[in-house]
This record gives sequence, structure tokens and C-alpha cells, in this order.
Amino acid sequence: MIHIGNFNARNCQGISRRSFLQAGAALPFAMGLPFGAGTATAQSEGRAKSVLLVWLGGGPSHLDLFDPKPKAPQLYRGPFAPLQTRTPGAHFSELLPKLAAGSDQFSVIRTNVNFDGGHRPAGSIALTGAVAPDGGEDRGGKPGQYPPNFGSILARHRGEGELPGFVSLARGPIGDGVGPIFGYGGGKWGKGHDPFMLSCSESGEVSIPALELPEGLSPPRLTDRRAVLEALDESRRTLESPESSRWDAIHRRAYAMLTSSSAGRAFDLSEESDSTRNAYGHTSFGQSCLLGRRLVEAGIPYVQVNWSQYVEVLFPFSDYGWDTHSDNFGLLADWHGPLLDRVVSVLLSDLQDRGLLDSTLLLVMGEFGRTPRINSIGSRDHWHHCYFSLWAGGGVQPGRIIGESDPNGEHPITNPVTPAMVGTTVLELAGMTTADRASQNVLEGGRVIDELL
Amino acid sequence: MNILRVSVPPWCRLRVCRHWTLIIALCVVSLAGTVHADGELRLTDDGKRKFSPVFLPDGESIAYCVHDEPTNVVVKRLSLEDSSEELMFPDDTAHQFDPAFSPDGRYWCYCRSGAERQLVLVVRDRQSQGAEKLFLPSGGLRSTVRSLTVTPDGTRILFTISCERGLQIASLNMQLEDLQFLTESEGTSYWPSVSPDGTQIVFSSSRDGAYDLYVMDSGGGNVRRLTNSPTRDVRPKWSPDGGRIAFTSARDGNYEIYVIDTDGGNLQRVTDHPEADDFATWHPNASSLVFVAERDGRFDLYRIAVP
Repeated sequence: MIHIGNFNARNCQGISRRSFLQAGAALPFAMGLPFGAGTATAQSEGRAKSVLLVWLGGGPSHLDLFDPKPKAPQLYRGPFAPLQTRTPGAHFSELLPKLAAGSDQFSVIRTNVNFDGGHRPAGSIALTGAVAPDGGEDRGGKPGQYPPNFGSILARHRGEGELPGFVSLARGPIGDGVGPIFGYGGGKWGKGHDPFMLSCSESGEVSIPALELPEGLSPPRLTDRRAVLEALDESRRTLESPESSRWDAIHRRAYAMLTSSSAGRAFDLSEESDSTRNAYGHTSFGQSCLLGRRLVEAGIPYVQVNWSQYVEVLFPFSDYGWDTHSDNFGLLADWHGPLLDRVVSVLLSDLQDRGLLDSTLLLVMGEFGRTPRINSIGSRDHWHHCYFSLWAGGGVQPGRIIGESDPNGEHPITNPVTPAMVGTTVLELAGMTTADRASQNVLEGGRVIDELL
Repeated sequence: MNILRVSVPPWCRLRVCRHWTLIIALCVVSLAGTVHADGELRLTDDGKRKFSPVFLPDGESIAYCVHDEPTNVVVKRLSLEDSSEELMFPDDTAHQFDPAFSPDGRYWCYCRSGAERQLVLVVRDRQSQGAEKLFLPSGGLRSTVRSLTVTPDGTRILFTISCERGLQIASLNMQLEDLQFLTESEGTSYWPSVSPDGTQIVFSSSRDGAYDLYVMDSGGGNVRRLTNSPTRDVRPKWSPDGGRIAFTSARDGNYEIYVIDTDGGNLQRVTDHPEADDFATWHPNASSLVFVAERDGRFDLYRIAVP
């Protein structure tokens, strides 16, 4: 079942055109989406027809997942035992038994580095490959100054099609309790290059969060029609005028897509078997990964599945993200580790079984890792000097451990892998050459991570 | 789902003819859940993520934590008699974790994660119209208290607390005064559970590497290692009859429930499923366990007999 905003758009009786048009007319910046899939594209697709990014916002602990340090002092190593993987000589944490058993399907980089220790700026850097010229979210920067997200770049390169070129799955704009990550979308290219945002619940219901009523308009206030209209008008004004016509076109395309029986099916999880849906598990993250696989199967060039909307794991504005300043070891053992292990291993197997893994680049990462030294409250804080990423399919050679961190997991002792290298490799595998990137003025000078290929 | 609706879990069998057994089983199914082929009785069916179940002192209902909404964890109370459910702390909009109760039912305790930006200990006194006392761990922002349990005599509450030495086990009296640390070891010490005579505490610790079970005297001395597994043994719960300890272990590849004698002998595996079984808690009669089982990607409370 698909919901558009608060309106039921697809149900047993069919599609409610009126509800969508109402929502679409009312809310302006619902989805600046470059459409890129579903038709023959002019550009090369490369090895990776699609990119599926699983974004672990908040900073997953590298020591407690993919880079355990059992010989480090107690103050560093944490309580989890190392587990032998299928990759000779490589160990993961005991929290990842399924991924350890299937490590021949993917490769892991253990020496990712970022250039900021704050969630939002680090998230933007990790998703765009570049530091914002105005200093970023925590230093008075503005969203419009940001370089575009890898997904926006690829969607623009692939050109227009029936389906959007860049889809992001989350309950709303990803970020922290302060605000969204500026690098989530088009940045300086404008909202027309933002991802098409979809939300997928634990029961598999798909909705478009941006078409829901603006925050602050609680149901009782909906009876005040004037207040609603004023809020909507204000929202419309936030869209820069050059983007208006493009946005209208995008909106019409979104409507066409969702009402098209062929394209709309990509968003309908009820077409999956019970066994498949059960395998992914009935969590929002699990069903979102299944939806991500369907979107890849439908030919969407870039899909970002977000673990949570907010990075926070506890306290206000939290939905169990990876920011485990508190109770890292309890939370990872209870929830994050088993869920990540289950869903990503199922996703890998599903892509493989359907013959999609060769043509899909799967990348799993967050914006940074967590402090190797355990903090004063028995947990771990932000650490951008060394962390992990998982790569599979799309031309990546599986079964490799790339890069080595020092004995306590604090810094790389082999070549560090920068966000620009991540972006360059993603785009290269997706068919964007150095010349293509230069023509869009993105990631110039970036280097491909040769060890992955 | 692999369900057998007429099989009978051992804990509800009477030594009577097969017809009576069948009738009782059907009654159990209709009132309180679904009996599975492997003797598990499903108690809930919403599939939402659950953890930390614990029986209320009356033995007729269970409190447990559930991800009710993406941004909200609450404590619910499940009646075993009619399967009805209700929020235990409906006036609290913060995340609620790890409920615990004094044996006389006077004190209701839980951990709260809200505006304080700490995981704080909350104790509500039912004899004083639910008057609430809070304990904020001393570490300030993001410091934590978790894994609560009340001593059998109802005079103190034990918990895991964050401090400069990491996560340790400590206790307070029910007025939330007189903080006493019971462990001060390297690594993490977590999940305390008190023997029914109040003299011993079982807990998990990573002091020697991965999590294993340890037992100590009620004052924190005389620590003995109970298990030695290459993977983690966690969440021990002392049985109400004092003879056994239930716990979760990943020693056979994924989370399963085990029981062990209090001297470390007679290890028995209680559950056996490719998905996770975790968070065991004893029924007050010590003959069965309630736990959180992941089945077909859904999380529900189940009950199983302990041989």
C-alpha cells in the first residue's frame, strides 16, 4: 500500500487521483527529483547499473563491528569477542555472525577517514565527497552552498526517465535533533536535484513524507483553513523561483509514475512473497532495504536506504540511530548489531539470488566511527579519523579486507580512504568517467579505490 | 509460520487422559496465545521489537518494553489471563526501559530516556499515589542506568551504571539513597540478578574478555566465574526456586536461551531456532520462562517450559 502524504493513494480499490492532486497542489517542495530510470539512458551505466547506499547515520562503532581489536587494552577493545570470517585471516565482531559467514560476498575498507567530527558536516562530507566552502552546518553554512550528493550527480548524469534517478528512504530529512544534513541532496544545484524521499514502515507501508502536512500543523489546527493556507504559501515561497517550473514538471512526473501500473509496482512491497518479507524482518530498516532492492530492480540509478531519520539513539528526537554515546555495548548487542547483521546479509543474498549483485553496487557506511578509547561513561563518542565501509557488487572484488588500522583502531596505518575517493569510486563504477565528473564540476581530482577493483 | 494448534507444552500438561490434555491445550490457545510445534506458546502477536520482559509480583501479568512507535519505547503490561495490554506509565512520554518491581508490588521502577538527556532511574511508590523519585547518575549528560532488579526483601534496587570505570553494578535503597558499587572491575559488568535468598548476585562481565557469567556475594565480594564461552553469555536470571540460572548465549551461533545450575554445571539449551531467542525471565513458579523470540522477522513474547 502506498500513501502519499496523509492521503491514501493506492489501495484495494485503486488509486485516488483526487487525493494526490490535492496533496500535490498544496505542498511545494515535496520532491525535487531528477528522474533517470525506466527509459533508455543516453549515458553509460558502467558495471553498476544502480547504486544502493545503506546509510548508517550516527556513527557505527568500527571496533565493535568490522574492525575488532581483541589485543587492545580493556579501555579500548570492548566486551565483544572476535569472530573468524570466511575471508582468511579476517575477523569481525561476534555481533555479525551472518556477515562473517558470508564475507566472501563483499569487501570491507577499514581505513575510511572524514574531516569533521560533527554529525551533519561529516554526513555531508561523506555523502558529497567535499567539504562545504562556507564551513558547513555547524559553522553557519547554508544548504545552497553545498556540493551535490553522489546520488544527485549520478541521477543528473543518467538523464530523465520514467522513474526518479535518486530515491532516499527515510521518515523525513535525515540529520540530527538540530536539523538535516545539508549534503543530503542537490545542494548548490537546487532542490530540483534532491532525492525523491519515501518512507517505509515496519509493516511495509510506503509514504512520501514531504507531502505530509508541515510540522506544527496538528490535526486540530487543520480546521483553521486560513492558517493551513498561509503555512503552505510560506512553504511554496521557500522554493527558489528558477526551480519552480522544474519542480512542477517533477511533480507531474511523480504523479504519472505513481499512477502508472508498471512504475508504481516498484513501490509496492505487497508484491513480495511472505518469505522474502519475513527474511528481511518486520522492522522499518528491514522493509526499507527490501524496498531498496525493488527500486534497484526497477532500474533506479541511486537508492539510499537510511537506518534512521535521526542519528540519535536515545533521548528526544531519537529513533535508534547509531549515535551511541550512551550504552554503546548494550544497545549494539541488543539491537543494532543483530539487525544490521540480519538485514544486510539477507540483502546481499537476495541481490545475488536475483542476479542483481553484479549490476548493483552495494555500499554500507556511516559518516564516521566511534572513539576506540571507551569514554568516561562506559561508551564511545564520535571518531572520524578511522572507520569502516562495506562494498559489494557492481564491479567490486569480494572477499577483501582493505586497509589496516593501528593496534587500537585509532588511525589508519595504510593509505586512508577519503570521502572523495568513496564518491569517485561509486561514480566510476556507475559509469561516470573522469571527463563526465569534470563536465559536472564534481569530485575533480578524486581517486578511485583501486584495491576494491 | 510453523504452528501446531493442538500440541501441548509440557508445563501445562496434567497427568490425566489425553482428552483432558487436549482440552486444556485448546483453552490455553484461545485465552493466551498460540502453541507452536516446539512447545513455545506465543503470548503477543504484534511483531514489534520487544525486550526486558519481567513478571509482576502477582505472576499473572508481564511488563515488557516495546518499540511502540519509531521514536518511542514504552513499557506495557500484558495480562496472561485475557491477553489484554495496557501502558504501564501512560503519563510519561519519554523512552521507558527495563521495568522492575518490588516483591510486594509497592515500588514500580524503570529507566527513563527523555529531556534529561540521561538514562535516569525512576521509582514510583504505589503506596503514595505513585509518588516519583528520580536518580540521575553522576556522569552528567548521556550517563546511564539500566538493567534494574529489586532484591527479594524489597529494600534495595540493583542496576548497571555508567561511571569512570565503565559500566559497573551498583545499588540504592528504595528511597534512592546510599549508592553502593558492587563491582569495580575492568571491562563491563551488566545485568545483575539476585538469588531468592538475597545472598548472591549473578551478572555478566567482560573482565576476562567476552561476556561470561559470574556470581558474587550480595556485598560484591567473592566473585566466581560461572561460564567460560568464547562468545557472549548475557542477561542471567536467577530462578525463583534458587536452583538454576537462565541466560542468553550466542555459543551455538545465534542467541538462544540456556539454563545452568548455580554451580556452573548441568548446562541445558532451552530454545533452538535459527532466529534469535533472548531476554528470558522466570515465571514465579520456576517451571517456565518467558522470552522474546524473533520468528519470521517479528518479535513477540513466548513462553516455554523448562525441563
